[in-house]
Amino acid sequence: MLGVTKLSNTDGDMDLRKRERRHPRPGYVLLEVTGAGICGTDIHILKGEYKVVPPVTVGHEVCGIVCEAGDGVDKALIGRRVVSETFFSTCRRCDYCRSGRPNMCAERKSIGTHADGAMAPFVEVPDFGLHPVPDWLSDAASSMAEPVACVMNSMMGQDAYVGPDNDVLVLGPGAIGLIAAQVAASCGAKVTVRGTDKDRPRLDVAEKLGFPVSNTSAALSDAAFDRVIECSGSAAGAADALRALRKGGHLVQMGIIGRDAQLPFDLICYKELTVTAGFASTPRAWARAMRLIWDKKVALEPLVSEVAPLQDWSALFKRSIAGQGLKFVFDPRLKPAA
Amino acid sequence: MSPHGVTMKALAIESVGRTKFCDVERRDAGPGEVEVRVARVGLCGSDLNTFRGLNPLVSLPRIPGHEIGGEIAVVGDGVDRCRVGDRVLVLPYTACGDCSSCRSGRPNACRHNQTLGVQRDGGLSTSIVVPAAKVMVCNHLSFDRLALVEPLTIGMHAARRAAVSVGEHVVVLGCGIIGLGAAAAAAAMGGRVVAVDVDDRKRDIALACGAERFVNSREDDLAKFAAELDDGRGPAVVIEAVGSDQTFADAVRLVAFAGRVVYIGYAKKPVSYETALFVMKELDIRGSRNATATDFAAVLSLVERGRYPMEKFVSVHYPFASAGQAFEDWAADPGSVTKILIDMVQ
Repeated sequence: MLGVTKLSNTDGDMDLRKRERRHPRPGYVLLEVTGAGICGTDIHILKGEYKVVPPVTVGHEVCGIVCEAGDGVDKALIGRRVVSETFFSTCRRCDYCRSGRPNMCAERKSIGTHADGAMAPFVEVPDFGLHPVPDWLSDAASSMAEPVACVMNSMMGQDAYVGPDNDVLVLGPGAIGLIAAQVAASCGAKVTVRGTDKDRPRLDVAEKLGFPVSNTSAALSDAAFDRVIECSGSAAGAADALRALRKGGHLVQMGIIGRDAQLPFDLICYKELTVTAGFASTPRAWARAMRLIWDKKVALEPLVSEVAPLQDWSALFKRSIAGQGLKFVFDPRLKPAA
Repeated sequence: MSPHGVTMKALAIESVGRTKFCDVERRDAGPGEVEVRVARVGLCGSDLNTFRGLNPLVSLPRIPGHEIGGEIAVVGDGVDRCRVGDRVLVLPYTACGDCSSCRSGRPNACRHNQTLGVQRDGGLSTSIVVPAAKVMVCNHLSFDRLALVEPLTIGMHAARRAAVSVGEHVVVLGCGIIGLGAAAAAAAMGGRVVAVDVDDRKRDIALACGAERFVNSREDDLAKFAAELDDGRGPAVVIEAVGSDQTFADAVRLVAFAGRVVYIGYAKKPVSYETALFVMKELDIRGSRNATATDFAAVLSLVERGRYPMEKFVSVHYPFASAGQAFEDWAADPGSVTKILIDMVQ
């Protein structure tokens, strides 16, 4: 089978390559992939900014149908439409694994970075990370369960970081930003979404979802928000976030800047800010995310910009990098246009 | 008689079951104070308890009323946060600043708190003088709405004490205005709310507040219903907004293992508990008293976003002249009322 494969950690060294279709090992299943989304991390991987273990098929946002079950796996799973957590394997012994934070495990292997991922017709994943998806949600939208889980990991600790007493600013109206905005609204917060001129079509989607929007061409008032969810992954965004927060405010850093950045760091002291972040997702975040999806508290369909066959990978990555939409998803079952 | 010889009309609860209009001294607003011309006063369940002799915090006679909407009549020296004519609501609490609650940033639970109309005379009078810091200017809200904010903050505080997370199941016991406010706040925080009452007349308004389900605990098996929530785990949160020994004990039985119970009500007698449940379930049991300025801001934010059925809360208006009658009517049929508003300017 052919998979979108990162061949080395060099910038741009990615191509559609022949990959082995394995039979699942004990405790694992094989999914026939029906949706595999492009994530901001995949773009960092393409550029060599996020290191992987090459050669590896990329893709970690996946919806699929269980088509083979390894030894010890409940055969009733076969035929089920599911989404999968990102973990391929973790040590299960370290303090992080044992305290519900396998995303911090030093031996963590994730699909799409350490183990072959979902941008291929089939992907092998462990059975414990599978979650059923509702019939009414499309494959492409279902594949966004993973970014929803990442948002839940970032926006909630023991309790939610945002509430009805909060004015919340979401910086960066990409898929993550628009999920974060919806989660914040579901927590009762008053939410504003901010983006650049280039983000205009994405801000239109934000408006359709019911959010007031603001543009980076207009000045941002200092100390106007209780919470900022930084999803732009830019130094300018992170700096704006620190300035826009009120005293005692909370910055949730979701974006990855990809390089060292110069920031007004002292504002964290002067304003006694709390800064937290989430790296990928945890099992608890997945449970919360799936509940949110089943309860229809996040709209995912409006975030799907395009569904395409794997053969269009290069064009789709380019459109994703250019920000010409929100979420681009591969459906490996689609045939390339003749 | 005041030094200036100026008096104004007020309604006092004179003794259990008896009210009386009286003339009281009208004090001038001093430095840092404002005089608020009272336009609307909501009657609270605690005012009703005072009238019925069931409020342990009150000594009689007392002018009741702490849910106040009005406008600024006079500003004292040094006040710059409001102007004459501004519409305001009143924060009816005090904070000593020195007790353990105040020192830990929870002035709503001040040990020496004196709520208007409870530990000191309240709003059922032509005007009141309060520190300027105790009013919030909201010129875009009607007097009715201003008077409704304070009772809604009590439920908001309880939902925030419960730290309701999006997707969690929340059972709210009692659909008076306090329970309804807790239900609406919990729903706004993403909770999946089951509102419980013994009176079917509360069903529509509970659903309008964002509850997914209404359970009449007199007719339906609440324990069974709650046990089935969240795929058999039970509700992560139970908020008690009735104040009976029965509901106090029910709350710890209904809640999920590792759940949170929040009490707003005052049980009127000692409660017998199966304390094993506290330990076995490793419960977080939290009291919730009054509300903070943050809760007021949160309620105002939700009011602005149309998250409360504000019109539905008001059961009836009485003119000030009939305020005594309002207490008698409410005492006769408590279930018929969500909120009585006294129109002070009529």
